[in-house]
Amino acid sequence: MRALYWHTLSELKQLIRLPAFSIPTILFPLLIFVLTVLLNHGQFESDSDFGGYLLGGIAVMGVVGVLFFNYGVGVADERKSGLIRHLRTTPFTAFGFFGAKLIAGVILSAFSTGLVFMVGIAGFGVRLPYNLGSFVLILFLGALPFAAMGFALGYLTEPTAAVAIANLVYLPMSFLSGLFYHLEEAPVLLQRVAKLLPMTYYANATRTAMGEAPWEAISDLVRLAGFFLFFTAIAVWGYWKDEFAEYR
Amino acid sequence: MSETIVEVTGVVKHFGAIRAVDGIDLAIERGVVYALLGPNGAGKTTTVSIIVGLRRPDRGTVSVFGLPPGHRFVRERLGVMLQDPPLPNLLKVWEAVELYRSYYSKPLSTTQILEIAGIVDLRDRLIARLSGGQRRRVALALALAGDPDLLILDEPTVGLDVEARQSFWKWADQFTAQGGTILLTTHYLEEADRVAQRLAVIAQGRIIAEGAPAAIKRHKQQYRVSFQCAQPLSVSLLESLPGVVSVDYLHGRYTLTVLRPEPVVAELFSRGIATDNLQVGLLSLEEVFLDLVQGEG
Repeated sequence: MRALYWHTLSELKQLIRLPAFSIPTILFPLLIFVLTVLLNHGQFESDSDFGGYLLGGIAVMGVVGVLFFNYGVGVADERKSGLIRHLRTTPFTAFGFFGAKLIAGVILSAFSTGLVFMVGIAGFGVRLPYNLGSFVLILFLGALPFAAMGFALGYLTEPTAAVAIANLVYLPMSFLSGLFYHLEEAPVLLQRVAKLLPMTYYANATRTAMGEAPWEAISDLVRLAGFFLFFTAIAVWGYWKDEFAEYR
Repeated sequence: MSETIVEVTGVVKHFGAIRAVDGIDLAIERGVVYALLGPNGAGKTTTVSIIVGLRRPDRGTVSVFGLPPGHRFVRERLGVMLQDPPLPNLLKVWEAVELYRSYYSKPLSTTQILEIAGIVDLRDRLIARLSGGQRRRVALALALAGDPDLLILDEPTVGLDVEARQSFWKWADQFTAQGGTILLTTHYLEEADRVAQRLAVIAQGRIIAEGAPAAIKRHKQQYRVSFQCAQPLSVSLLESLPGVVSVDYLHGRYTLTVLRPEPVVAELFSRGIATDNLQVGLLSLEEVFLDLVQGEG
């Protein structure tokens, strides 16, 4: 328990001290939220739901950013530097290692999401999710495929490649998944691409979860479960490669 | 009292076509400083990796505290400092020490760890901003965090300044006196000679000599007799003396490698050769080492 506490705390401290992490994951979502709101002032006036719609998308962006950079870049870095190797000589367990990553991920996601919600509520009159409990639960469940993607990235790439890939996937996917605009108003091609991306379903699930019928998010969650299994398989393969193939 | 802490039997390890470790046997007793000595690429680091459980041998067995390497109980009692030690760069020194302490059930106190490693004054510094020598001390601190019974150090003193080395070895004396065991690798012969009670010389993945440093020196059964002399001496005359293996002449000093020193010295005196500043001694460990390694090559 003590190890889990200290490892989680250390994880958080290290991430916060790393601008390459904190800027894209915390500052970007906030910035994009404020800019979108200001640039689409008209839409805000005419469409009272747009604030909530946008906020759901931005919350998703923040969470995915945290997971990509924490698990993807973080693990790639710890592998490369030999820290993970050294940990294998200590009594610290894989359970503690992943447990700390999970808790740190939840805390940072909560921070990132909480921040945009606070700004949205205080500055732009967005409503708080209808049922906060199911909102948090759905936000958490929907995040799992992205955690798996993060670990897959972390275990299969070098640190520099991990940063590049994380950015390359994260930002375009955020746009293509319609996080900042109504997808149904977008060109058909874009809508088709969006249907292939897990972030689209995560954003849908999150927006549904903010409303009065959060259980309707289930269909999106089922699709996300498919992505989760796919990326978990890749992550496990990467973990296995690192853990056993290198340990020979 | 004598208890074997590390036992390595017939360990072989290949990397592709390269035979990094080629049949190594080792038995390390409790309470000693044991040095694995050898040139770069001799197989020291691979051997250590196998003992700490980071690599699996192709053949042979390893036991640490009577258990397989990597066993949870083994890791609880083990402190490891790897070569080019990986450190959590974005933590402060005290934070890293606390983190590593938390992994163990009975850690040393933070103050003790910082004192032994000589980094009390670096306590609040960010690890990323430390110099190479300071990083080594932090790595040592992390290896000590769990109050280990066995400390395994891969090239511990590369990059450590003299002061840090001295304070570390002072502590190591107490540590082994209280039953702690240290296994280290080094290519500093002088250091191995000074600090280790036992050592194994490794070359090309094999142990070519093993024992107490003095015993390894004696093992060669050769001594060095050196002196200055005002009158010029012919090398062939010196070579003809009983038991002389070789003769060197450098900067006015004759150096004879001999099987036994006494008959040579007696012969020099009886021939009336006026030696000046005569010195007699065992070959240095470095000379034995070079000889052994070259003999293997």
